Amino acid sequence: MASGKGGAWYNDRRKIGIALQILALVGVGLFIWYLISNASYNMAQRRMEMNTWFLFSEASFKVGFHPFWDFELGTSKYWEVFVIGIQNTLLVGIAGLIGATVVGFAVGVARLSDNWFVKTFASIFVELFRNVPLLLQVFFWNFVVILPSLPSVSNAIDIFGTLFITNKGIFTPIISVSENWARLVILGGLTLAIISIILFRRWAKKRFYETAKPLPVFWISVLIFIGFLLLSFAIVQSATDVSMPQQSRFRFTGGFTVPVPLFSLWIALVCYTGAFIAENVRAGILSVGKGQREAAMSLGFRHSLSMKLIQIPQALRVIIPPTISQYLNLIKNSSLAVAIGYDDIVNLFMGITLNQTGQAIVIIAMTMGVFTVISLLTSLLINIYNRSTQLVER
Amino acid sequence: MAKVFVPTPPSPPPNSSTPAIQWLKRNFFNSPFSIVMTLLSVYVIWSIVPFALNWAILDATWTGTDRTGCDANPDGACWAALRVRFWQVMLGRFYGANPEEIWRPLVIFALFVVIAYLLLSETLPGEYRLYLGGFALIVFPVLTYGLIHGGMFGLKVAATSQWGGFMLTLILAVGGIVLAFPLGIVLALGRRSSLPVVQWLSITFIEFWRANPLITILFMASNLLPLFLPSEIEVDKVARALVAITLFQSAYTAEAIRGGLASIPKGQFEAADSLGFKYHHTMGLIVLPQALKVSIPAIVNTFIALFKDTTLVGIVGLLDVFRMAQTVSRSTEWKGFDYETYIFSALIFFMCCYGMSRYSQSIERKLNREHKD
Repeated sequence: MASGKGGAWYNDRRKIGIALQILALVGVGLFIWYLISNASYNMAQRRMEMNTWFLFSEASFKVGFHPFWDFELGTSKYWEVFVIGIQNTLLVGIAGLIGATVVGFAVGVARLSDNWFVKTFASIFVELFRNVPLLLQVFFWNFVVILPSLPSVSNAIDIFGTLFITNKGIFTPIISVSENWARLVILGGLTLAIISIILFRRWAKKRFYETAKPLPVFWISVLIFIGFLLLSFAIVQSATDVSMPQQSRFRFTGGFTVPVPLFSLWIALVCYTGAFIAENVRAGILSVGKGQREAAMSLGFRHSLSMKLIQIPQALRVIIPPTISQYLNLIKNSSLAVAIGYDDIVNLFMGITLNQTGQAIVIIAMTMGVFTVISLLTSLLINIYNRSTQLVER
Repeated sequence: MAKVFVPTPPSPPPNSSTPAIQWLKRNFFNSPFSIVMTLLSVYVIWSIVPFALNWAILDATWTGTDRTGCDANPDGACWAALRVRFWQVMLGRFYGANPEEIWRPLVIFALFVVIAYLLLSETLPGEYRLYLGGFALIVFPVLTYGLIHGGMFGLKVAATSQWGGFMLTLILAVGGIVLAFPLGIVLALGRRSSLPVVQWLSITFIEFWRANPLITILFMASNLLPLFLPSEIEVDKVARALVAITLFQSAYTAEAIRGGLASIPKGQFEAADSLGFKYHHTMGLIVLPQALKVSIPAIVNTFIALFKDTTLVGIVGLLDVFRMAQTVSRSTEWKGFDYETYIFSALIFFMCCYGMSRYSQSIERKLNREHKD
């Protein structure tokens, strides 16, 4: 590396580097200053004012779908709309990633099936859903398939008087918990259930290694979960209330309503993301050495058992990182809700609230902030996973 | 008495059936599950394919200028609707209404196909490819705008608000990736730079755009661009969408190129350093030519994603090919022919995206072969 003595300063990489960085910082700073000065000039011209007080004033429109948060037109504030939007985005996102994982694994394994038909159908599924825009699929499910096939409220499909399917939504009974302490008890019960399942699994694994006697781990975990759930509901029984949907002539009251757009968006996201996950699963399984499969075969494992016990556990290391980034894509893609009117963050906040209040800068910054945080958390998760599996590698 | 070795007769071959039957057994009847799936699949095909074939092709209405023919034939598809509105769906409102002008976008499209073929295939020697690349990046966009927009040389004006259809989809997708390409190279180099400030600026930029869905970026462009630019500059809807797409795509292009840069062995940098190359020479002459070649499949994959994502401009009020097709089945004239318009636009996207993904796979295989040699 050139040193200070002799030679011009511009031949010294270190000095050039510092000069370049200062230049970059100044350039970016000037550009941002230019944008801000334009914005303040334009806003003064249009008599607009940027503020955040609007968040604490009453929302001027009704939010249709708010499963985890009470919304009252006239008293609820705009910041509550923001919170409901985040909840609804996460709701369809989490439901979507569960569905997409199931579909993705099924289709990915099916693409490697012995059976020619199964293989071909799985390939058609993947290529079809991967190569058609998601927006088209969302519209298709909602407006062409699902809405026209559902009956109006007066002709609702009635399943044992508890579940009603109509084109205004799917109406189900719900257990509502009215008191805050009761909500805390249930939350505590769920946490305890998860902790005890983790402890139980650890113990079962240890026992298996010591005695080679397997336990039906999955079913016992399910039992533990249901047990804790029932227990916590038994404790808070006095504060709960079962609400059944009641049919009147033109509408339903009570119960819980699953909006049709949520259902359409969910199906579209599951198929689209499932197709991508299926490719990850296939690539992961193929990445496991052929010898592993042959060894399993020569030990007398059947195809399904060798998949379940030998190939998939090893493939997971290759499958999981790209699948987590597909989950992130799924949550980002759930913003297509705006096209069919599901109340996610983009539709509620960036769409309706922006129109009502005109606070473009604050609202767009907040919405983009939500997605940025979700994305950063996801990449953190991938990094942690990669680090934890790297130790296993030999 | 000495023992005499008597060989046992060889056992018969394990499977005495003919190869055809073996093949059938292996692919269709290997296990009880396989047998069930085969029977189920045959049943599904039997019940769907003849119906679909009849509806889509054999019983379909192909001709006619209004819906009377289609209404008389409810069991067949109504392709006549798309035939009548074909140029509108492909080229947008203006060219749909002025059929004598459609040569303008068609000439541009033909030129685009020729340029893309010459650049992607290896028929042209390197030097000419460079000139052609320059032409494609600088002259061609101007020519495209001039010819499609018109307003000079006595051409009728086709305002950008009248652009639409497949033409708009292509303009946004191709324009987006071309504009994002130089930005992507700079960002990728910045992210791998040894200068911390440059690196952090690049990372922030890339991760911010990658974190957000294109819809929010389109909303941002359509709401904030007019605020953040001087009020003298008028930005129309197409330009706003193009800005949003460029910012979005530059982050993905940068990540694709970064993957290519990471695959270049350290020895290449060291060799260039020891020959006394400066940074821009090392990058421009040694590293980037190799890195870009390696990153072509990844760039094509991001382009496929972008191509599908351009449909989102429909949400901020532009009429891309899908929205244009949708307007057909929502018009009073052809109301209700939803399946036809959805299938038509899905087919266009499927053909383009499937073709491109095949192309990217073939390049990937070729690169793998070259690396092994």
